[in-house]
Amino acid sequence: MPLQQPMVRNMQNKKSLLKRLLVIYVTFFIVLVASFAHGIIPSFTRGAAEGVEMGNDIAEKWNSGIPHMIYLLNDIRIVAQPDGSMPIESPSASIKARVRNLELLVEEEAPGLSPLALALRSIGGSGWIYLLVMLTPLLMLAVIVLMFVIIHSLRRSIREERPLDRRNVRHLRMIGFLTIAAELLEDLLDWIMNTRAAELLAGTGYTVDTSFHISYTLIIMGILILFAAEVFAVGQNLSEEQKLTI
Amino acid sequence: MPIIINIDVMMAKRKISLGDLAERVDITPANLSILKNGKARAIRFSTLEAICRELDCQPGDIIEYRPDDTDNR
Repeated sequence: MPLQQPMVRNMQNKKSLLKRLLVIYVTFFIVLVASFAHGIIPSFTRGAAEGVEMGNDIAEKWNSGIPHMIYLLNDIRIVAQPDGSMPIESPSASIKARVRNLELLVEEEAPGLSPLALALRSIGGSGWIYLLVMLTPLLMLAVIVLMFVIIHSLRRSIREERPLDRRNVRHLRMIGFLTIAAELLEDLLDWIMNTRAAELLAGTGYTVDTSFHISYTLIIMGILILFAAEVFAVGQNLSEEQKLTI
Repeated sequence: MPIIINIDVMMAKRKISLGDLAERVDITPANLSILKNGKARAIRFSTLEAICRELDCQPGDIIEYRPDDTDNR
């Protein structure tokens, strides 16, 4: 009978591990749904409405015979504005507002461009920027899918008693690299848009911050995920070593 | 790897099958097969002791060091 105790303990450990993973799975799903409901869907709806409006404007100009390139430059960091801070009348307090971020809607004449070319230049004024902007959410989507895959695969591996699976290491590495890539891509886009805005706003009194800003939080997270993947890889090697020790 | 396992030679000399030896040494035939085919990364002293006891031989009879060409340079 005492020989059965480690087996029972092992079963309990497995059960509690599976339970913990299920909690992570459910929490991840809830957070994802909440982020979709509060962040992604409203911003997507707003973006779609603005896109339709811009599309109509482009079509209108095209139909009038003078094609215009209308494009958006968003999250432009302003370090100085022409009149300094702007006073706002309030009955209860004295308020001064400073512009820190601008969203610019630029309109330029673009003779000879096709409607498709005009549509592809609607973000940042260049087809490349448009493609890069579309690539960023795709990378983040890939991370989300991989997160689901890895949690599911971890649960299956634990059930099959081989948690240190090579596939899990591969998926973790991919998540880490994609997180870093998505963040760097977003920072690069931000820098390109700010540089373009600085050229357009030159001489207007608005000074744009054109330095390359990196959001370190996601980069650090990506590095931590890569580190976890390496820990998994070491564990996987140890487990293989143990399996091949006769 | 320059470590060669000659357990099959000793098994042939003693006329013992893989299944029988595995049973006597108290390891699974699959693990003994891994050892026999040179796929094992390490061997426990207790396993080595049991194999030597059952095959009535010395560790050197079943494990051989044959340097690779790269080791000679």
